Amino acid sequence: MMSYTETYFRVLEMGFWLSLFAAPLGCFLCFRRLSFAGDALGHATLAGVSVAYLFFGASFVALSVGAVCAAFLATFFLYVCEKAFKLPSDIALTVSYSSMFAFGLFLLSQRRLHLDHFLVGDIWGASAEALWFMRIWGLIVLGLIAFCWRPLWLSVIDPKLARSLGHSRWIADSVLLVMVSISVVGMLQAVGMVLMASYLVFPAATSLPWARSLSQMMMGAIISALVSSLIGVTVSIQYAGIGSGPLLALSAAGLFLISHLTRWILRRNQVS
Amino acid sequence: MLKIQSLNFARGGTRILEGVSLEISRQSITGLTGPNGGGKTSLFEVMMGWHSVNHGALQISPGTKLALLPQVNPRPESLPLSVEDFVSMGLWTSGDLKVRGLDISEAFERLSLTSFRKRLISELSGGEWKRANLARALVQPADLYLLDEPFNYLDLESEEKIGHLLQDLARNHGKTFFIISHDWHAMNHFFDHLYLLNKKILAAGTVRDVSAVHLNWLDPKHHEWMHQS
Repeated sequence: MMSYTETYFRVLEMGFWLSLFAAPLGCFLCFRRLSFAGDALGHATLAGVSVAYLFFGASFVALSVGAVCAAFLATFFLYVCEKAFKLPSDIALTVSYSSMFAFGLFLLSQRRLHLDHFLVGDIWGASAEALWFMRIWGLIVLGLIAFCWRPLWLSVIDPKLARSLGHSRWIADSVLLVMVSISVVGMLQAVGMVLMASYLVFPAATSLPWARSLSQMMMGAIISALVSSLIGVTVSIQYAGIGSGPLLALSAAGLFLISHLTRWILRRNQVS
Repeated sequence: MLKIQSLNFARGGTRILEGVSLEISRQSITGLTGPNGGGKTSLFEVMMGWHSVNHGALQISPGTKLALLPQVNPRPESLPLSVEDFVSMGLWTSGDLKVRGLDISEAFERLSLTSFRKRLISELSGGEWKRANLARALVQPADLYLLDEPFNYLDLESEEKIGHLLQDLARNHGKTFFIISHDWHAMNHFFDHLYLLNKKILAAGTVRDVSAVHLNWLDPKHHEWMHQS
């Protein structure tokens, strides 16, 4: 049996790895106009999680495989809507995640399943397998981002230039969406399927007013996610009944506000 | 350097280019003008190899590398990217860098961007943004540059500066330019050859030849200017 301090540091380590892989991915999503993608994919995973729970029970591996399959399916559907049906990405996202979320809710209501911790997250209840997943996945994501830095940014900022310079936007987009889809599993543990923006969008948005380059924005996003994890996890000790998700999301929102307000005040003082 | 013969291109059932034939010589500045919706930008995209053609041939000298300055380049407003980093992205090629584009420092200097190097792209004016885009296109490692409306949003001084830069790159550095433009001042001063395109090539020759045959494409202001000059 682990002591309370050991558990606290294990949970903090989960927050560390989550910040390390989710915050940089959020930077890409924000400028690909897909800042909603994390939450959308999170909602879509409900269908996969529900099906996995029905057949295999509450095992981390089964639920994770279900979540990843559902996220891939939603991503594929998003791709078909964008490319074949020529729909804008926000419409395509809404259609794909809403239908899969509805299917998940339907299954839940039929079988009276309780997956509350998947809705708003429970980082304190995360298993050892989940921690190992985050360690390995964190390193893979960082490696992929470093390796694909140029094609990823080019396809986000200027797809025509990317093509002109010989990069495939299709490959870059697919790499990005696959990374986000698998990362959803990690975020499910911490903030649940409805609050994924707290690790994907808030950190990137928090670092924006201070960054003067893409790498600075990404470093700022990671630092912001780390600080909000530390605050969220520490405060959640006092409010055990609430679940970690809302507190992690609130601390990320608090940092966002502080960052933008400080920048705004500094700018006003500079002008005057 | 590049030859297009009887090229037909259709998209979504609409014919965009019909029997287009043209030729671009090495170290020249060739212009492409014509009414909106005449297929100019589509022709550039076909030349970049982004669309397959229905009929015709596009022959490019072996080893020729192409670079594109797109017409519509919306500025990612809140993106934290300095002008220097933005221009350097022109070198983020997936291939080798055997062919050299314009040196970055020279691009900044000749496009009057040196003092903006460290500025964020969100802090640039419309004309400065246009020049930064042109700088990014010119640093790309290429032999043939396809520039879609490079003179838009520019004052006369900037236009002259850019025109002379393109001429210098063509005459002294072996570069070739194919430029979409509606700017008759720039065309008359800096272009060696001009094609008038409205789905088909309607006229070809020097700017004066083309404008003499197809004055109806000129707007009255330019019309007047052509007669005065």
